[in-house]
Amino acid sequence: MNEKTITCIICPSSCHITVRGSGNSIESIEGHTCKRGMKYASSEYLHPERNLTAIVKAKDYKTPVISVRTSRPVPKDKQIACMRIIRELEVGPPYEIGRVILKNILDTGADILLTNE
Amino acid sequence: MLEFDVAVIGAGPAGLAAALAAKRSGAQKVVLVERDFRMGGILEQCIHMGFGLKYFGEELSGPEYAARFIKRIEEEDITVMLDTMVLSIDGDMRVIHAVNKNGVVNIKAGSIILSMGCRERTRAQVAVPGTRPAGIFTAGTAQRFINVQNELVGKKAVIVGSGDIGMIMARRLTLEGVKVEGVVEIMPYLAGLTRNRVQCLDDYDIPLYLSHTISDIRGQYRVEGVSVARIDENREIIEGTEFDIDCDTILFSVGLIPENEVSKSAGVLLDPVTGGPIVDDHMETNISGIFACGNVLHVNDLVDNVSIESEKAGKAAALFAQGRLHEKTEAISLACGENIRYVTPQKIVRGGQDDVTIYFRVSSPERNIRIQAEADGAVLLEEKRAFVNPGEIEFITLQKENLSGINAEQLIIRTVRE
Repeated sequence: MNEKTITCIICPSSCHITVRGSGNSIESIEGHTCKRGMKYASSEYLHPERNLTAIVKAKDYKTPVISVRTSRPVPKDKQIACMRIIRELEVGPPYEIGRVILKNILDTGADILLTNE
Repeated sequence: MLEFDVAVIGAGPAGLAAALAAKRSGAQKVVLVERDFRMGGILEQCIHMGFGLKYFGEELSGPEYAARFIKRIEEEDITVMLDTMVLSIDGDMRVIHAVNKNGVVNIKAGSIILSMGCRERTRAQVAVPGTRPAGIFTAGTAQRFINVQNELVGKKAVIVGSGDIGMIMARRLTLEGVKVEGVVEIMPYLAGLTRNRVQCLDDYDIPLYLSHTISDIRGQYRVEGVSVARIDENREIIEGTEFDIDCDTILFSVGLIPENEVSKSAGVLLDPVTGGPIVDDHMETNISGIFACGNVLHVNDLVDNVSIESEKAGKAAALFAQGRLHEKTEAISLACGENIRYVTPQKIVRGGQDDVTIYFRVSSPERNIRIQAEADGAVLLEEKRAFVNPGEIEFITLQKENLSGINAEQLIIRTVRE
């Protein structure tokens, strides 16, 4: 049996929610005050994910680097590994927001896209 | 002398939204004056997500949020002057004095919008003892170095102050391989948003030291470390609680100050609490035809609110330039009651045709309260809040029907415990 306390970030109330379970099954969720909080706590317990933003080197651009992000959240525990790959990337023109510069990073299903132009 | 109907100073989120709204509200000639080499302001270095949920209904990064406005500006016939720094304003004549690589630029405007944003408080303003070695930055300066100029600021960092930029930089540094040893906050509560504590500190097990201060900075040429100590309720260091952290970098995230040197040159009166101009619900300052919006007015926590507020300023400035903004009549003053630190706008012009949204911050955290707007003993509006926190801005909207009946000179905003 695992127990995890999660601070909810859905609204400023910042409820402390306790999730108990084992492996991929949840036994109980306590401390939430709304449905959205319960949903957040369960996804944080089962598969916490985060959007990742970074910069990559840019050739012939107005600054030495350009900002990028993942097209969808990636598993929290893969962030550092993703960053190692992103840090080595280098792009050239055309600079367009949303342009994919790397597909399916570390098999997460997330692409790396430009967020500036 | 260049002549424009509406001149907007600063092309950050406030200036972009204001210029666009001015143009779309009928101002023929609009100029946007920006000191940086591009539009977008601080959003260009805020590469993290979290922008636009309220305004665009989707989550964007800072540059993406800015780009949506920049694109619209470029589609309209708006003059943009980049690399141009405004030095002063003649308030009565509404003439802007600026410089750029061509020399002096003078702009005569029908109305002026102040949207210069804010700047960071530094180590000097929080009076931290110790040596003055290299390696001490404000969080925003470090953010620009890393995200725009590709210069990593150090290898091992301590962050002073738990403001949002400080916490966001804690995550950013961690992801770039910098070890963040902790965030030191003098107050007993977080200065920024809880969501940033969870996603920027807790996620990476970065310690947060509340009610702690930096008692010493060590290092002759480069920062070598800091001493941290717990403080009591009088902000005195509690003996025996001091500990050392080795680091080569210190980031200060200790608050923002609206940047109003130019406003002062025009004779604009400032609110001692917000540090920004005193405005009415048209966002007009005490100087006729000079408007203000965004972080120059009060430091916001959501850019979406800045865009909404700035559109109001842009529209009013356009109407003023066309002689269509109704005469400055007497106004109702807004006053801060129980647990309200500031309100903006600070005045509501009588006889207005619109609902008025009032933004405010509380002085200390409270649970289960009601926000009350009262005039002459009568409660005009009451709204419940489960939780209020100084770090998170609040607002209420007064309906025009409610406002039209007020004869009182003052409208008081306060919190009331259940």
